[in-house]
Amino acid sequence: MAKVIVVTSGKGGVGKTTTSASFAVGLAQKGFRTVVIDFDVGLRNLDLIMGCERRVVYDFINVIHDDANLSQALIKDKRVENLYILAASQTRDKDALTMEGVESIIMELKKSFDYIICDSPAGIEKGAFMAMYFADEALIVTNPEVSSVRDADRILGLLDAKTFRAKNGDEPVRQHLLVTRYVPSRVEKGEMLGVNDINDILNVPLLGVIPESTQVLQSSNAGLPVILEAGTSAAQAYEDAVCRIAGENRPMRFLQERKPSLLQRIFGGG
Amino acid sequence: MSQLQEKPVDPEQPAEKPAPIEKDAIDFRGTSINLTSLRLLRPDLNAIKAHLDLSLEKSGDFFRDAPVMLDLSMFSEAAKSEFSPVLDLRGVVTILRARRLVPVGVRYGTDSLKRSARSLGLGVFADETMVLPKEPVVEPEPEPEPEPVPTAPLPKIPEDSEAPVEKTATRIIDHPVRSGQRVYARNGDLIVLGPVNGGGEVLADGNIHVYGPLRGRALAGAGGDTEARIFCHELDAQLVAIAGIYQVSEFIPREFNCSPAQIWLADDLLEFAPLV
Repeated sequence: MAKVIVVTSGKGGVGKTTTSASFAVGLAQKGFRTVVIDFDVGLRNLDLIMGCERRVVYDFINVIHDDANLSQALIKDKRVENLYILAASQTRDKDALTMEGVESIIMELKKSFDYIICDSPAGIEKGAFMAMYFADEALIVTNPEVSSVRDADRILGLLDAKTFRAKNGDEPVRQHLLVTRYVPSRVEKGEMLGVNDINDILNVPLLGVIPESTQVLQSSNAGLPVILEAGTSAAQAYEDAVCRIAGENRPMRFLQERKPSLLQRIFGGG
Repeated sequence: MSQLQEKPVDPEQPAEKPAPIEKDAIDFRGTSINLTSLRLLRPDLNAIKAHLDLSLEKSGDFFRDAPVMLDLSMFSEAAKSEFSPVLDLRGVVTILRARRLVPVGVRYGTDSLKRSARSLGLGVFADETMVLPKEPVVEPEPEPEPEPVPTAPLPKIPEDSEAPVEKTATRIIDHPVRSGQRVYARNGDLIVLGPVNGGGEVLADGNIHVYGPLRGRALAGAGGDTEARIFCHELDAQLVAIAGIYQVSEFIPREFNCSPAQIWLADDLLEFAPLV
C-alpha cells in the first residue's frame, strides 16, 4: 500500500527540502519505488537539491492543467534506481494548485509507487495545506530553537484538523519529529533547545536528530542530496531516520558531542 | 425506541369478600422496558400505510410481532392550532395489526383520541416525561432518572429567559492544544488532558482544568461567570482571564512559574494560589 509522507515545518529554512531529498534517496536505496513532489510552486528548490534542474521540462502544474501527462513530467534520478522527481513550476503561484488536480495526481502515483514524499512550502497557506492534505504520515522538521518549535506546533494542529484523514474521521496522520541542525555542545551550555525540551512542547515521537554539519550546505550547492555523502554525520543520521520510518529499529545517535579520539586530537580532523 | 415505565397499579378491590389466598398468585412491580415508538406525523391513512410498508420491507423480520407505542404528539392539543387533522385511530390500528405489529398503547394526543384508544383496548401512557412512582419500589436498585423523551411534543420554553445560562456538559480534550488552536467549552467546564502550548487558547464559560503545562492563553468564565476558576499543573501561561479580567504572563507572580496553581477572581482582581 503506497504511503504519502508530507515533509513540513511551518517555518522556512529549517531543512524541509534537504530532508525530502535525503528521505526520497534513502527510501529508493532501500528498494522502495519512490517519488518526491515539490509543492513549493513559484519558489521551486527541490530540483536544485536533487541536481536535476536542467532536466525539468514539464512540472507538477503542467500535469494538473493537463498540459502534460504524468509520465512526461516525472524525472528519473540518474544516481539512484526507483527514484523519480516531480518538480514545481517556477513561473506560477500557489493558486495554480487545485485540490482535484493534486488528488488525481496522488491517486495516480499511488498505483505505481511505494512512497510519495510531498515537500511542503513554508507557511500555512495554500501550498502547505495542499501538500499535507492527502498525507498518511507527516515528518515535522524543526530546528532546536523556539520559533521553529512553535511553528511546528501550529502545523501539528493543522495536521490534526485539516487533512483528508481528519475530515473523514480516519486514523489520524501519523506524525514524526525530525530535529535538524542539532549541536549537542550548545544544548549542554543551554544555548539551544534539547530534544527533551522540544518533545516536552510538541509531544510527537522523535524520528531522528540530524546534527549540524557544514556538509549540508556544500551538498545543496552541488545538487547532491546529503544522504549520498556517505560517512558524514548528516548522511548517517538521515540513513538512521529513513530506516526508522521504514519500520527498522535504530538507536538514536548524535545526541551527545562526539569525543575526539586520541588520534584525531593529534592529527586534527573528525 | 423510547423508554417507558409501568406504574404499579392497585388491583381493583373486589366488592365481595375476597377468597382467602394461600399463595401469592401475582406480583406487581414497576419496571422499565424498551418499546418501539411510532410517531404519526400525518392523518392520511394511505400515506401511513405506504411509508410503513416501505420501512418494514427494509427491516425484514425485525418488527414482526413487535409491541409498538403510538406517539400522537402531532395530534395533541398543543399542535392542534397548526392544523386540525382528524386521525382515524381505529384505521391505524387495523393497518398495524395487518402487518403483524402489536399496538399496545398511545401517548399524547387529544382527549378524544385517548378515549378512542381505550375503546380499542389500548393503554394510555402518561403524558410528559416519566414520573417516578410515589410508593417505594420493592426493587433494591434505585430507579433510573427519568429521561426526557426525544419525541416530546414541543420544546419547553424557559420560564425566565433572563435567567443565567444553565451549565451543561463538561468538555474534555485528550490531545495537546497546539499553537493556533482554540478550544471553547460553551456553557460548561473545560478539561485538557495535556499541554496547552504557546499560541494556543482555551476558553470556557465555566472552569478550566489543565492537566499539563499551561503555556498558552486560558480564559475561564468567558460568559461572565465571576465564580469560574482556572486550575493547572504547570502555570506558564501567556495570559489568564476570568470573566474578562485578565493578566499577561509578565504580571503573573513569579513564584508560580511552572508550578501547580489555581486562579480565581476576588473583588475584580485575579488571585493566584498554589495547588496542593
